[in-house]
Amino acid sequence: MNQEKEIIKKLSSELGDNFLAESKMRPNRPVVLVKKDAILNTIKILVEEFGARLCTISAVDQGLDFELIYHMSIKGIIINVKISVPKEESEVISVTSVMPGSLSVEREIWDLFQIKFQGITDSRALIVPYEWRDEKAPLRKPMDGLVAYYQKPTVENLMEQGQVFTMPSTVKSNREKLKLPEIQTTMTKPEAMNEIHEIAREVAFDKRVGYNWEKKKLRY
Amino acid sequence: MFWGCWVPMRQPSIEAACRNVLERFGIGIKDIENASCCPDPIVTERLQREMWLALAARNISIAEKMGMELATVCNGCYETLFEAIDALRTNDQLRGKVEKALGQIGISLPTTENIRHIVQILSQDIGVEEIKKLSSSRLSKLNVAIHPGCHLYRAHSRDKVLEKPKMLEDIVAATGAKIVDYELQRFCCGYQNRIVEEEFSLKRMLAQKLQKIWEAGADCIVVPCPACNIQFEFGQLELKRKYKMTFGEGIPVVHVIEFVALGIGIKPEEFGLQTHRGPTSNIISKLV
Repeated sequence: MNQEKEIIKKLSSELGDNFLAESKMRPNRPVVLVKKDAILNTIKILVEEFGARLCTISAVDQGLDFELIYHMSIKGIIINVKISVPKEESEVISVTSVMPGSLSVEREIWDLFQIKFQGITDSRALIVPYEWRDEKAPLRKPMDGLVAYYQKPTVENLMEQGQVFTMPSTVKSNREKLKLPEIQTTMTKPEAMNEIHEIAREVAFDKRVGYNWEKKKLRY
Repeated sequence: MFWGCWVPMRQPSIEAACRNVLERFGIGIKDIENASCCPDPIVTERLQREMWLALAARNISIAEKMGMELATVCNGCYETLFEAIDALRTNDQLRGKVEKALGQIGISLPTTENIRHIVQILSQDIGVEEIKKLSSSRLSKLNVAIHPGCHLYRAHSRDKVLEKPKMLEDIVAATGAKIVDYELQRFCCGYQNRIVEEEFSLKRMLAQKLQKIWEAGADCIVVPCPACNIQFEFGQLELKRKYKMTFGEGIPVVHVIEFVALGIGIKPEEFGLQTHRGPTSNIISKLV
């Protein structure tokens, strides 16, 4: 088995459910997506079992989440380990305990994106003024998703009631005066609304629009 | 009947008129239970086609299971359900994803190829002759501007594009009202632009249409779509408030099913015509 396949297989078997997906940019450039909390374990496996060294860590502000890509070199293969960091958390465990050389790039990412690295050995600002550390991050954008601000009520109502409007009290009163039957849609039937939620999860609509299930609102 | 969101939650007079009219002509209605929004072709479809199609397919499947023909009183719902049926038929990849999503909730893909608009029910199932028979001359003093809306032109083939707008005209004519030609009949009312740029929607789109309708001497506007109804009705209030633009006391707007209800002698208060925000009393004052 070639080394690339061996690495992917090892990661997949060791990480279990924390291993989310794999893809390939081109030969010798595999990409693996792992859960955020599994990043330290992933780097540890690559370093200790395959002698990987860190090239650098890329950070991308995707609007609602950050994507961190750890570019690890193993004998000519560059394995790119991706994690997603929700902007509301903006925290991830530092890999300096396994890879001390990651310190400067983690400090730089902290400066530019305000992503905190838990357990980092030196948390001082590196490339921005010290006062900026908790206040300004030059490459960090405001929380922003796919849904325009004027469309948010439509999407939130759809996810909450399965309809794009709520019913004002005047309309409710008019319906009663006109002796119209009670509405029997997802608005009044929880089991029907559950079906809408299952569909939204299955087609990843919730992720696409950035829906927070606990708060029942968009994340932005 | 698929009522959608607009009609039951914003304009119940359309629902009441529809129930009254169809009952008068002996046509039964069964409400679809557990339906969601169609979903709307402006926001949801643009955000993610899989979600849009899955919800539409679910609604169509529920109707199919009831063993009944699916009909709607809203152009937007008609557009969505029409396009959904088309997408399920022609887009294998999308159909596969939707089939998987519906399979999770134990629903199979619909097989129906037919969705009907209320103008088709009025024109084909009831017939303009029957409407004419019951109408006498109640609306004969009314000059009416017809606004078909964008989605009533939806058809499977080019030669049928004007079919449903023609049905709308014939239905209005059957009530005895006079139809006025105001040149901009096919122009959009501007509703979907409203949420993006309100001034453009009101001043550049709606006001142009209203000006022509006013100059043509129309007493009211008849539409087949609740969204167009809201745009005309509330739009006139906003044009007056924000831009000092008026068209007499305002031009009343009614849905075609409400107009037919008036025509065949159903009292306005029976279907709640007074709940409109526009001056519908101007229509009532001209009833014969």
